[in-house]
Parts: sequence; C-alpha cells; structure tokens
Amino acid sequence: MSLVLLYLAALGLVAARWLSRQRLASKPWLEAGPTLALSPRPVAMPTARLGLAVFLAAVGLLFMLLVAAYTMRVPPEIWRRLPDPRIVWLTTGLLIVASLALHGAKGAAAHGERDGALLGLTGAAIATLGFIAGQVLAWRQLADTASVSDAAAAFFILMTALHALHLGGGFVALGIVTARSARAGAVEDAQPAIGLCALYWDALLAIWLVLFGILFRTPWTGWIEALCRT
Amino acid sequence: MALVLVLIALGSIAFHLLSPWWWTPIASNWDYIDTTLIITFWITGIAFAAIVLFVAYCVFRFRHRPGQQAAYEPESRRLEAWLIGLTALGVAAMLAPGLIVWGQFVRVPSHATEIEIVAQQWRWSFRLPGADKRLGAADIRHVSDENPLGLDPQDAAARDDVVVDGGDLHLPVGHPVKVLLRSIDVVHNFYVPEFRAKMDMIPGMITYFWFTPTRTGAFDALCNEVCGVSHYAMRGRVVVDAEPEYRTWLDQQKTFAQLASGPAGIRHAARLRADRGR
Amino acid sequence: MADAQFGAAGALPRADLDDVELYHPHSWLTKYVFSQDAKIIAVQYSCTALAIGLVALVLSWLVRLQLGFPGVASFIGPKEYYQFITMHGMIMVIYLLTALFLGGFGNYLIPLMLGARDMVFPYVNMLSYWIYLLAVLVLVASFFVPGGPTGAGWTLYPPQAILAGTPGQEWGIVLMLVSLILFIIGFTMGGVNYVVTVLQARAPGMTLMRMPLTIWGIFTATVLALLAFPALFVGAVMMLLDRLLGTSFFMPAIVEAGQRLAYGGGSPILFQHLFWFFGHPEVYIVALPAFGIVSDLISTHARKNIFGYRMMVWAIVAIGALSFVVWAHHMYVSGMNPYFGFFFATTTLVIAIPTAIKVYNWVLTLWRGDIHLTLPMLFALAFIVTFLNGGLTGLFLGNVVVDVPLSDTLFVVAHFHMVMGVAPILVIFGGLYHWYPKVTGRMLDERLGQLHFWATFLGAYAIFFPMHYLGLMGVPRRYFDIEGLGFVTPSVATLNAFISIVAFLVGAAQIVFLVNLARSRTHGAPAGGNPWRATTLEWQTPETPPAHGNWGRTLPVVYRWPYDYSVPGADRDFVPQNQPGLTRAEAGAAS
Repeated sequence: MSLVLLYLAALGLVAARWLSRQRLASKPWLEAGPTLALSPRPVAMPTARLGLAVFLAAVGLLFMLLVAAYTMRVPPEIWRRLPDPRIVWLTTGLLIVASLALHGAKGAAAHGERDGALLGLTGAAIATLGFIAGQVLAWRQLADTASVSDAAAAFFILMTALHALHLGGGFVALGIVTARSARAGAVEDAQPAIGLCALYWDALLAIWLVLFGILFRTPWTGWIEALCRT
Repeated sequence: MALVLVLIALGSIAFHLLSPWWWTPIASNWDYIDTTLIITFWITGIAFAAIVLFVAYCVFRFRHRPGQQAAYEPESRRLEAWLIGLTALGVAAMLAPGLIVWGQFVRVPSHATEIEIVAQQWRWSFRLPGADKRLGAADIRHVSDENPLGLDPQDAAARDDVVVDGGDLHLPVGHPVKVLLRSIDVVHNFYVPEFRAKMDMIPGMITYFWFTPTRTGAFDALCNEVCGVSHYAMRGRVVVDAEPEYRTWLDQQKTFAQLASGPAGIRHAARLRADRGR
Repeated sequence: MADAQFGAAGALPRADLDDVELYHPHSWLTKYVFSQDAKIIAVQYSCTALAIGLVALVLSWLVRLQLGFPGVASFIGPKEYYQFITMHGMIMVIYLLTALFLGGFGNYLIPLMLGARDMVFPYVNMLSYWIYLLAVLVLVASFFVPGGPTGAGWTLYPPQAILAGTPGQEWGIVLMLVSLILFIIGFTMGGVNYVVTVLQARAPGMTLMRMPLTIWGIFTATVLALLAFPALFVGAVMMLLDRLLGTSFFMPAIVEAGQRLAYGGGSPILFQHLFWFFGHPEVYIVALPAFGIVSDLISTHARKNIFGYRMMVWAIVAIGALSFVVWAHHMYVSGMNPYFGFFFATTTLVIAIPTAIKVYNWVLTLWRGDIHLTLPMLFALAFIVTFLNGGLTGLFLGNVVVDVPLSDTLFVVAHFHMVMGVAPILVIFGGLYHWYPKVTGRMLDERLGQLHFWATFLGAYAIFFPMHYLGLMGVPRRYFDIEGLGFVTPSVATLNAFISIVAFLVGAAQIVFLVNLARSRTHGAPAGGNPWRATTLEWQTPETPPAHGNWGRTLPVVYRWPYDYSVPGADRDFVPQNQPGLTRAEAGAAS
C-alpha cells in the first residue's frame, strides 16, 4: 500500500498547494464586496482539461491500487517470471509512438496545418490499434504457458485488459476528434481537443510504463520495487 | 423539544445505570479491557450528557420570540482553542490506556501453551500439543475425512498431538494459552464473550491471540465472522477445568496417531461422514 | 479596500446564456427524461434513490421480524435472512445514501448555491444518472435470478462470498459485483462534474471562503469518493474474475465440504484492505455532505451565522485527508499484523478531534441565536443528538483494544446505524423539508412533517440506543437466531421484540413522509422564492422553481459570505449573498 499512499500524498500536495492560495485563513465576514481581485476562475486550466485531469487522477489511483494488490498477492520470488516479453517491448514502443504522434498533431493544429494534424491523428490511431493487437498476442502466448491459478499471469491479464479498455475509450474519443478536425473550418479550433487526447495518451503511457515495470524485468523495475517495498 | 432533549440525556444515563443488559461476567485475564471500556464510558457519557443538556438549554432559552434578534458572533479563537485542548485531553485519556493494553494483547507470554482451533463450515475442531509440548506441522493438502485438521502424517511432532474433533475444548484454569487459529474454507472468528478476546481465522494463514482463563465453568463459543448460511449455528463450547479434572479429561482424548490408525480411526471417519450428511 | 473593489461591480455580470442554449430542451423527452439539466437529474437521482430505499426499508422490516419474533415468519429461513441483511446494507450505504447526497443534493445545490448555470459537463451528468439507474436495475434483477441475491453480508468478504455455502452464489454475487462496477463508473462521471463545477463555474465573487458549508461538504466528499471508489472497483473486478474465470486473487487453497477446490495462493485479507480502503472514506462520503447541510440548516433556522466558519472548513478538509489513513480500524481482529493496531487506533482517535469541533460549533451556533423550531431545525437538532451518540460510541470501537470484545456484535451494528444511518438520514429529511419549496414551489405539510419527525427521531433512538447494550453482552451480529447461547439472558428476547415493534412504527412513519412528498407537490401551500429568509444564492433565483439556466440573463454577483444573519445594523435579519452594499458593522470593521 505504500505506493498508493505515496500517490495520495502527491495528490494531496497538489491540492494543498492550490488550497494554500485560496486564502483559507481569511475572515470572510469582514470582507463584504465583490472581491474582484480574485478571479472567478482561480484554476488556470481550461474546464475540459481540468475535468480530464481529475478523471485521470482517479484512473491513476485505480492502477496504483492494482500494483499494490500485486505486491501483496504475488510472492516476491515469482515476481517477473513472465514469458519472454519481446512483443511487449514492441507494444510499448507503439504506445510511445502514438503519444508522440498526438503531440505532433497538437503542434501542427496550433500552426493551422490540417494535413499535419490529420497525419498525426491517424498515425496515433494506427499505433494504438497496433498496441492493443500486440497486447492480445501477448495474452495468447501467456495463455499457452500459464495456468489460470498463476497469480502473476492473472495480474498481467487483468492489468493490461483494464489498461486496454481505457485506451479503447480514448480511441473512440480520438475518432470523434479526428472527424471533427477533418470537418472544422479552421483546424486551430480542434487544437484543444487534440491536446486532451495527447494528455490522455501521455497518462496511459505513464501508467503502462509502471505496469510494464512491475510485470516484467525492465531497467526501471528496481525503482518501482523499491517504492513498493518501503 | 428542549424537554425531550433533557429526557433523552437523563433517560440514556438512567438506561445505562438500570438496564439488565450488561457484559457477561469475565472469565479471563482481560479485565484491563473492561477497565478501558469503563473509562471510555465515563468520558463519552459526560460529553454526551453535557452537550445534549447544553443544546436543550439553548433551545429553551433562545427559542424564537417576537422581536428577538440573534447575537452576531462569527468566532472565538479562545473558546475554540479551549475546546480543542479539552477534547484532545479526553481522547488521550482513552487512547493511552487503550494502547497500553493493546501492547499486552499483542505480546504473548513466553510460557503460554500453544493450542490450535481449526474452523470449517460450520464446526470447530481443536488440537492440543502432545507429550513433546509442541504442535506438529499441518497443511491443507493433508485434509481428508480421516484427517480433518490436515496434520502432516510424516511429522513426528504431529503424531502425538491430541485432536478433539466434535467435542468440547477443555482448558486448565490459570494457565496462559496462545490460541493459534486456522480455517480450511472461509473466514471465521472464534469468540467466547466471557474471555473478551477474539480473532478472525483466515484460510491460508495462521492467526493468534492469547488469554488466561481465570475461573472454571463451561462457556459458549460462537463464530463471529459471517461464514455462510449456517453461520449462526456454528457454536462450540469451552470448558475451563481445575487441574485434576483437566488431566482426567486429557487422558481420555486420542492422539493423531491413535485416530489415524486402528478401528477408532475408522469409526471416527464414519461419524464424520454421518455429521456431514446431516 | 472594500470600497475600491466595490466601484467596479457594474462591469461584472456577463450574459453567457449561449452555453446553456446549446442543450436547451426542445421536447418533453429531453426536458424530463433525457434531461441534461442538473436540477432534473437531481430529482431523478433522488426519486430513484428513495424508491430503492423503500426496498431496503421493507428488507429491514423482515430482518427485524425474524430477530424480534424468531420463527413467526415461516418464509424467512437463514438463506433469506442473510440475503435480506446483505441487500439492506448495500442499498442503504451505496445506492441510497451516496447517490442521494451526491447525485441528489449535489446536483441540485452545487450549481444553484455557487451561482452557476449548470454543471460544466451536462451530457456526462445525464449519462451518470442513466448508468446509476442501470446499476440499480441490475441490483434489483438479482432478486429474481435463480438462487436469489447474494447473502454474503454487505462487506462481501471472500472466500465465502463466492463459495457454495453462501446464498446467491450462483448469480446473486455476480450481479452484485456488476452493479457495483456500473455504479462506480456512473458515479465517476458525476463526480468529475461536481469537482470541476466547484472549481471552475463559481459566480463572480464566490471565493472558496464564501462557499456555503453544504458545498464544502459535498465537494470534499466527492473528492474522497473519486479516490475511494477505485479501490472497490479493483476489488469487485478481481472477485468477479475469481468467481467466473477461476483465478485466485483472493482465494487460498480451500477444502469445502470435503472437496479440495481448484483455488490456491490467494489472499482474503487483500480484499479486506481494498474494501476498507474504500469503506472508511465511504463513511465520510456520507457524513461530510450531512455535516455541510446541517451547518446551513442550523445557521438559517437559528438566524445566526455558523460559529467558527473557518474552523468548520478546516475541519472538513482535515477529516477528508485523515479518512484515508484509518481504514484498517475495521480490521483490528482480522488477523492482520497486530502492530498496525497502534497506528490505526491513533489516527482514528485523532480524527475525533476535528469531528468534535464541528459538533461544538453547531451547538455554539445555537447559543444566543433566535431558534425557529421549524421542521428542518428539528431534524438538525435530532442529527446533533444521534450523531453525537454514534460518534462517541465510535471512540469505543476505534480504540483498538476496546474493539476486540465489541467487534461484530450488535454494538457495532448499533454504532454504525446511529452514526451513518440515522444521523445522515435525519439530515436528508431536514434537507428535503428545507429545499422542497425551492424544488417544487410548495411547502411540505407541517402536521404530517411533525408526525414524521417525532416518530422517526424518538423511534430510531429507541431502536439503536438499547441495541448497544446487547452488543456489550456479546450478542453477535448477522445471527439468524440467537437461541441457545448460554450467556444471553431471557430478557434479551423482550428487548428484541420491543426494538422490532418500534422499527415497524418508524418504517410506517416513512410512508407518511412519502405521502407528504407526493401530496404537497400539488396541495402544498405556495412557498414563494425564499420562505426561510435565507442568504444563500439558491434562494435568490428570479423564478421558483428555478428555470433552465437558473439565473435569467445575468449571473448573480457575490458580495459576501453565506452567513450574514442578524447582522447588527442591517434592516433585515439576513443579507443575501448577492446583495451589494455594506452594513454599518461591516463599514466599521472595514475602516
């Protein structure tokens, strides 16, 4: 659970930093007047982006809890005994490509380059499909070698399935954004929506890297293990 | 409303003092728990009565009358600081004895005898150490009709263990016991109200608690963690004996080795099967 | 300073009706059924929650029938009994209390109290309700499948929850878990909405320290819920896989009725950690909105500002933060490492301090007030008594060693019913009596309300206060029948029968309330825009009930905090939040 508490503490820090600027120690009964000095929109973030950020904070906690459950359930000696993860390295690469493509699309849209934006969006879509297809292949490999009571394998399937489901939901949104960018009068109008996709993919990439690190032997596995075991 | 509030405060105290429903007479060393409980009753009882009576007074004294205006008083740092301090004191007065007693609860005395209680849907079995004064190995893989506790037939330490399956558990008065708890199916909890102590039994784990029986008698034990449709019927009995009676009882019990071989073992298995059929 | 700010007030109000026009309802169906208006969604949430709550009420009657008069109802066997208690608990905690406080009160009050036109994501908000409804329907469906609903207890502890010894193992548990997963998905949609609306859509001048405590409570509770429900989600998905695919997340090696099952290596305690990591914040998800609402009820009906507003806000935030580090106090006797007990007992008792401050401040608000014993005020006072009682017995159970003899006895049952059953429900009633005039434009009937109040308050106290003493004696919870336990004295049966009879009467009083709700809709006295002479923004809408978009052409501008009652020198005993101008006292304080 230490990883979960660490994650909560990080969220708490963000909340505390924000709250500390909300004059919680003021005495409101002495301050009649419209207080124009305080903007009515004190969070400097567009509403939709903030909404997505709040959602992602909850999603992040969901996966942190899964990781915590993994560390409590799977005995340390069978950690990372999963089969050859070569295909998983490939899918990881694809997810990174998708994320980069979305950032490219976002930049292109900001400069009004419709073709560039559409190229980035379709590229991201294809890479994402490739990622999900690769994960399915990895499951099938695993299903051949592991039994259903193998906890590490069960966790692999559960974690990647939930992750892929979230990515699938994002894929639907990505389709809508792509269609809108193709139709919109000025592609700049679609830029915020593309930015949301980029944020979502970044977050799911980060989550995947953590899951990858916990399930397989990666260079950053030691770090995650250290965080979980403290 | 004010009157009703006064009646609630006084009525609750009266109920507390006069009600015939109170804890069972204690039969273990955990009178410390009762003491902590009484401290908590005093502190919370005073807080409850004081606040409810204060509300009643406010409702009576400041109820709306024509022309009345409320005072304007946003806050009072001094009063709040006092109240926080007082509350913290009250909380500390309950927490400190609580933690001290918990410290005793988790530290088992080294001379305590280990006994084992094994739960399954919906019955109890007991195991006492044999002549070697220790309990042998057990594993769920060995569980069968003939070996309901899953003792390891290869382990010499297990062969002389006394197995009580279907009978009462007897304990000698005045000797601390460390109760090891196992379950072979779902979560159960072994609870004798007179002993105050209890703990869940988790399949796949061995949990424990300890106590010293302080008076002789027969006490009802019950399962206190919901464990399926017959949870309420999962009862047992613990008999605390004086040393001589306990010896007599112990001598009549069968060891694992005696049960596993010979006609006794076969009869035992048949009886078990009959139990299950019922 | 205040004067300088004042000068620019004229420039503030903006006409941003365009946003609202986007989803303005064009037909009956989009106005009342697939509505995206938070006020309609709030009513939908509330009605659904009350309807399923009625099921829970009937279940509690059946449970009390068995406990008070064992064997009288031949159709209640142990199987049915365990199913009834499970469904009663689950419905009350999740599908009624959580849904009603956040989905009902949250949806209605957040935009109105903050001076917003609506939630920031109206479409998602609508989806949230429909997924909630689907979750409720799946839950109800489990009554009609072979084997019936699950009887695992609302805590659903594995392994028993998915083994054959527990009722509803075939379909009931599967539908239960699916329903929970749906509920969490639906709630997350709503929850993101509530949080972002509070952060982004407040009216000009509505700083955080000018938000009514109701909003503070609902806001903090929503943040807690967004962070707590994922744990239940993870637990439910993993248990579903254990049940359907035979994985062993929570299932160790098990011999069930002589048969070795295929499971192995799982950890039942892991589920308990996940469950209570959700389960304890859940208590505050229910309690914090109740805290907030009751603060506003007391302040309004005592015509006095809430005492120590700042302390109240800090206490809410502190309780919210602490509630994530106390979960294992539900697991003192679970067999977890006993040394955790020291830590969790300490955090648990520390949380009592901010909670106590809240009680003191409610009580001190009454001191030298001008107390109108209206129905909302009566319910608020009843809340103080029952919450105080339940909170104090929490100190028994939180203090690890005292919990040992009391855990899983009727003491626990009485405690949590008092503190998170009776107390929040009294607030719900108070809130409904308080805001019903805004929702419908009509007052609820006073005489029926008095009847409802006295029966509910005194009845509930008479049910749960004596029940503590049965628990003290050692009477266990979740027992179909306590016949034959040597330590149970014969008088216990008498007390159980008494409790059951009172429970039937209290239940009947709720029917009176539902009749009142339905009847006053058309027959109630017209309320006017602000019947309670309250300061907060929802009472200052141009129309009652508020129209789509809430505020007509211009948003309100907030000039003051929400508790300007009985301000010295003001011409009335309340100053609405959107009323400009300084009273004499404020002018004196500002200079």
